Order: sequence, then C-alpha cells, then structure tokens
Amino acid sequence: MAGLVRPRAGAIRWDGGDLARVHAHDIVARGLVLVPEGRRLFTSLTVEENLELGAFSPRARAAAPESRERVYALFPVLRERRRQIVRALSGGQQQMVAVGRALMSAPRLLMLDEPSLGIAPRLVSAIFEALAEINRGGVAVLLVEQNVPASLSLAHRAYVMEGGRIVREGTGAALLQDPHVRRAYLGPLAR
Amino acid sequence: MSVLAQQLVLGLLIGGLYGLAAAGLGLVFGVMKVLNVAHGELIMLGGYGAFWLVTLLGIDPFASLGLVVPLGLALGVILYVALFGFVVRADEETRVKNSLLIGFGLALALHATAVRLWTADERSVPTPWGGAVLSVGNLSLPVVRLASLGVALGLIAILHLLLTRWRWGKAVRAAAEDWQAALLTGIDVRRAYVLAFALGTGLAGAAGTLVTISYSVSPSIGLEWSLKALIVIVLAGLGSTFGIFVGGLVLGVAEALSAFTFGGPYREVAGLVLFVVILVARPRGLFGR
Repeated sequence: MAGLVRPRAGAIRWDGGDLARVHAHDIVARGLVLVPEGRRLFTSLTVEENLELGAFSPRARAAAPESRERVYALFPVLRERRRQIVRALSGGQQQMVAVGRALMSAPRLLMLDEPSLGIAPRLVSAIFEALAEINRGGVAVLLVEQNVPASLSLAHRAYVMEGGRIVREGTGAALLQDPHVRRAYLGPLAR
Repeated sequence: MSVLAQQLVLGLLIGGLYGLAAAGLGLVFGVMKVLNVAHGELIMLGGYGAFWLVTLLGIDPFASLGLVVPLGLALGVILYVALFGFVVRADEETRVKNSLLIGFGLALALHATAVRLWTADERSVPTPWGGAVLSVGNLSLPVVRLASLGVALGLIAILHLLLTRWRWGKAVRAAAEDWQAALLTGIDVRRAYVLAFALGTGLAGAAGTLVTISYSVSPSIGLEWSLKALIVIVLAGLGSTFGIFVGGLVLGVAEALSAFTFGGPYREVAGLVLFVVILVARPRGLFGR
C-alpha cells in the first residue's frame, strides 16, 4: 500500500482512485503514510531534519509549523532533543521520531509496522497512548503488531492473521474475550 | 629547508583541486552508490569548456566558471537521464558492473571527442595576472593557483550549505542514507538522484576550469584525475564535504613530500601508499562515518 512493492494483481482503492500505479512518494502526498518496521530513520540527521523531511509534499509543507507543534506536544522529549542526531537517541525516542516524521506529512491514514519492536515496555505504552491521541485527532490508524493485548485494547476493529489468512475479526474488546485469541496469544494465565 | 617548504605549499595548492575533484565524485558515490569512473573526463571537459569560453569569447578565465558550472549541471541532468538513471534501478551487483561499463564507455567517448575537437595538445588559458607571484618570506606563491584554491574552498562551502540548509539538499542526504525510507517519507528519490548527479558534474566542470587555469588540460588527463579523486574519497571517507576537501589537501602534501624525499618520479607513489594504508587501517576513511 505504501508503494514499495507493486501489486501483481488487483487494485488498491483510496479516495476513489487506484494506488497500484502511483509512485511511493506521491502516495504520501495523498495522505497515506507508513512507519516502516525498524523505524528506518535518517540516523545521521537531526530530529528536526527528520521531521522537516517528513513534510516534503507542498500540502504538508504548508502545514509544517502546526504539524511540528502537534508532534512536540505529543512527544515533548523530542522538542528537547530536536538538535540531536537521531543515532544518539534511545530506541523508544527513535520510534517517536518515526511516528512524528510520518505525522509531518499530514496524513489521513497512518500505517505502522511493528512499532513496539525492540523498545522498552514503558515507552511502548507511551507510543500506544500517542496513537490513541492521534486517532482521536481524526487520523485513521492501521497497526500491524505482535503485542496483542496492547493492540487489542487500542483497536476499534481488529483482525487476527495466522499463516497469511484472517482467522478472527471483530472489535478489539470482543477479541480480547475470544477464547481462541486468549489461548493462542494471551497465555493460560491471562485473566 | 625552504625547498621543502616551497614544495609543501605547492602541494597544498594542488591539493585543493584534488579535494574539489573528489567532492563531486564522492557526492555521486555516496548518494547513488555508483562510482562514476568518467568523473575525470568530465573534469577534462570542463577544462576545455573554459578554454573555449576564454579563447573564443574572450571571457575572463575565472568568470568562465559562471558559465561552465551551469553547463556542467545541465550536462549532469542529461547524462543521468540518458545513462546513469538506468543503472540506479538495478540491484547492487548489477549496479556496480553496469555503472563501470557505462563509466568507462563514457570516458572513452569523451576522450575521443576531445581529441577530435581540441587535438591531443596540452592547452592552458592565459589570465591577466598570469605570472604574478606573491612572496612570503622566501616562499613564492603563484597568485593564480592561490586564487584557484580560494575558489575551490568557496565552492566546497557552497556545496556544504546546499546539503545542510536547503530542503532538497537534506533530501539528497536522506536518500543517500536510506532511499526506501526516503520514498516512504514522501521524497521523490529520483529527483534527489538527478540533483546529486548534476551537482557532481557541475563540480567536475568547476574543477576542470581551475585545473586549466592553474595548470593545463589535455584529452588524456581524465584517468589521472579520476584516480586522484578516488584516492581522496578513500582517504577522507564519505559523509563530510569539508572532510573530503581536507583529504585533497593531505594527498597534495603527501605527494609533495614523496617527490621531495624520493625524487620527482615517486610523486604518485605517496597517494597509492596512502590508499592502501587507509584501506587496511581505517576503511571508512579519516573523516568517514
């Protein structure tokens, strides 16, 4: 959907158009943005520069000052660290920069691939709270995540995939109670 | 002693041009992971561009930079669209092989064209203050070469500002680090590549102009300059524009020392020894990341 891999068949419908043949950078301009697995930040650039690059399309650039304020409000630590090179930040802070960079594109759909990977648990909850906040601000959030309890508590709609097929779907709250999901992902001790 | 000092000063003066030559090669290599072996031929072409502007139109040699650099930028766009753009799409192994083929092919073609247009003779351009020499103590500094060094440093500073202050300059650095992430961020990576290649060619044009003003140009200087530039980027490493410039100065001084100690024929040896030593001892270069 982000445009790095072209679909071999079928279409990706967005806003009445087909994204299957749109350049990856234009997809961002149309309001879909992906926070890739492993963050993939520009680690030799500063926090500020990473955020600035997130707002590259003309539409995003016009809104950049407000977007930046929103990111700093969401993750105050980034404001303190804005002149630091990203490599010097902790994993959790880097994930905040990754989410912030994506938000700078003024997206309507924010997609995240495994944002909790390799991050201290305390920071995972900070990031998930930020995702809820972003969602309340009117941005759709599509989250692919192996941290099942945290994701299901957050999600309005959730799908459980096993071996590439969707085996369960429903509201996050309902799936948290689902016996199959509880047995497979939450462990025998889950209450 | 004063002979040694004089040699070192002359080494510094040519070292600045090594640095400028390497900055263009290093920019393209760092961003696109393509070693443009025709970079020296682009320098040669820039030199003849200046030669024509000065002899046919009577422009001041240093002022000819104002035309050679934009022409170099334009040539860079053409070369990228016609040749190097196809290489960049390939995976890494194919990219290396194909870029060498294209680079050597381009180098041969440019060399043959230059022999046709300008014959194999060495050319230089006269400056109004051609033979002027600045004496400091018992050192004599050729004014033209001193001015060339200053211009080279100025161009390096401009490049640094473009890459660190300009939106598209930052996009070029981002694409150099992770082109897929740059795409996902919304950066048109192809345009960033075109820009990097054009800047590299523009810098080659500037280096060629200064080489022709300070020394001379002939169709066969290309390979030598490609090698010098390659040695400098191995020496300095990628990632810092000023680091590459300093690397050029280091090579110039090392060559002068080698020529002074072991005699003129051993001038080039210093560079090659430095090349090997750095590859063994510090593969990412003196200032590399």
